Amino acid sequence: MIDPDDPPRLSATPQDSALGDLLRGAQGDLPSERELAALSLRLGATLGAGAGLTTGGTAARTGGAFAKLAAATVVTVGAVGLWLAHGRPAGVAATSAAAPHASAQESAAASKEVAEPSATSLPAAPDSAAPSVAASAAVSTSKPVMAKSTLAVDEASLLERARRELNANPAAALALTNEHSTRFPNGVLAQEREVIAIAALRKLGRGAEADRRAASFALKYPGSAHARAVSTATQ
Amino acid sequence: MPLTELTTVSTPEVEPRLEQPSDATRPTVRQVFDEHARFVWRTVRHLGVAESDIADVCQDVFVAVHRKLAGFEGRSGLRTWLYAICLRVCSEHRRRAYNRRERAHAEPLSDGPLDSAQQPDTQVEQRHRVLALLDLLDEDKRVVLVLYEIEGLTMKEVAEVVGCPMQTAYSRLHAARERLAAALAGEKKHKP
Repeated sequence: MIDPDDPPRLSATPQDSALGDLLRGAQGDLPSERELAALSLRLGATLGAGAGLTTGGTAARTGGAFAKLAAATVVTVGAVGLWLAHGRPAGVAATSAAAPHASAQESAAASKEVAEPSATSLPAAPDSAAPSVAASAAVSTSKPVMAKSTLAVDEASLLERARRELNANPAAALALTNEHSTRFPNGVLAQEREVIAIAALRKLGRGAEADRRAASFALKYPGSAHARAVSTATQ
Repeated sequence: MPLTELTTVSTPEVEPRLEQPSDATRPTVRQVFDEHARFVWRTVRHLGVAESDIADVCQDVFVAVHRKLAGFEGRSGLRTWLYAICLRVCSEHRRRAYNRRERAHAEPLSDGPLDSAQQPDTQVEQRHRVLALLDLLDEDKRVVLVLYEIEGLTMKEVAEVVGCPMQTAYSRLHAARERLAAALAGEKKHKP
């Protein structure tokens, strides 16, 4: 916004000025799509209530329940840890190569969970997740050209479900990550998917697979923000 | 000419001042996020939060937005209101970070940009340069400079966000510019 009484902005001054150049550069220093999608994912329920924009089918939540959900989201971010925690680069984790093979059991487990949210689910679970999948699928077939950000939020919604399943039903979480890799082969949240998948494999006692995927992750995403989370998940 | 036409990077449209929004007209947290998250992130970064903590701080900002949105009365523009929240959260974060550092005997809090692997070296280099310069400023001057020069607020909005008289905001801007110009001139002088 411009106020005629304001002094000229260095960042908007056309003539050469080292400081002006730097400030203009700073204006362009915005987060990547992936960072924004990950943030959206972290905020999960906090953004979901009554939003109705690009939540990818997440059910709206209201009132006092929503306040609890928001708080729960924040708490679980810390508790569940993993990729939601702000990892510092260290260097470990999973691959996307191993991703896409959901076993029938995993799929069944995921479907069951989707249809019947477990009583132990975190309160943040909006799990009318089936509509989410349906809605997402419908969108992706009927609108081949979709806004990048909408896709990212759709991705985020799917992975948020996977994250919520992780503790109570790791098979379902793994199946959802497999679904993610099928639906979003070039998704912006591939790293986040891998972190969940590795943790799920660990919980299922499939340590060797988790290790392979973690090693692959480390190669593919050196310096990833999630390295520490994956490292924790593979311990 | 609007600022957005003078710069290559768009800043959010400055919305008309919201007059006592009702529940029906008040934006949702999702809408605030979709429209402003990029700018919140940028602000948090330039206010001196370590790269590895930016996502956490942004999360705190939007949790605060969620908590306070129902009480948003439209006395200020939404954007001004949001920047004020950013400032408070960043300030609180810095205080906590300082305390942590004191307790841990000062291990550096930042491990570098989260997405550095995906960013061109020049962009990362430029960021480091800007942040190093901003680090030369006192917090009060830094805030004014960031909000005015990078975020594109008017001086009136800046004064409102910071909670200081207009004249004070002008003085801080002037001092900040002088400090940075002197630093750059010094750099130039020392270059072979």
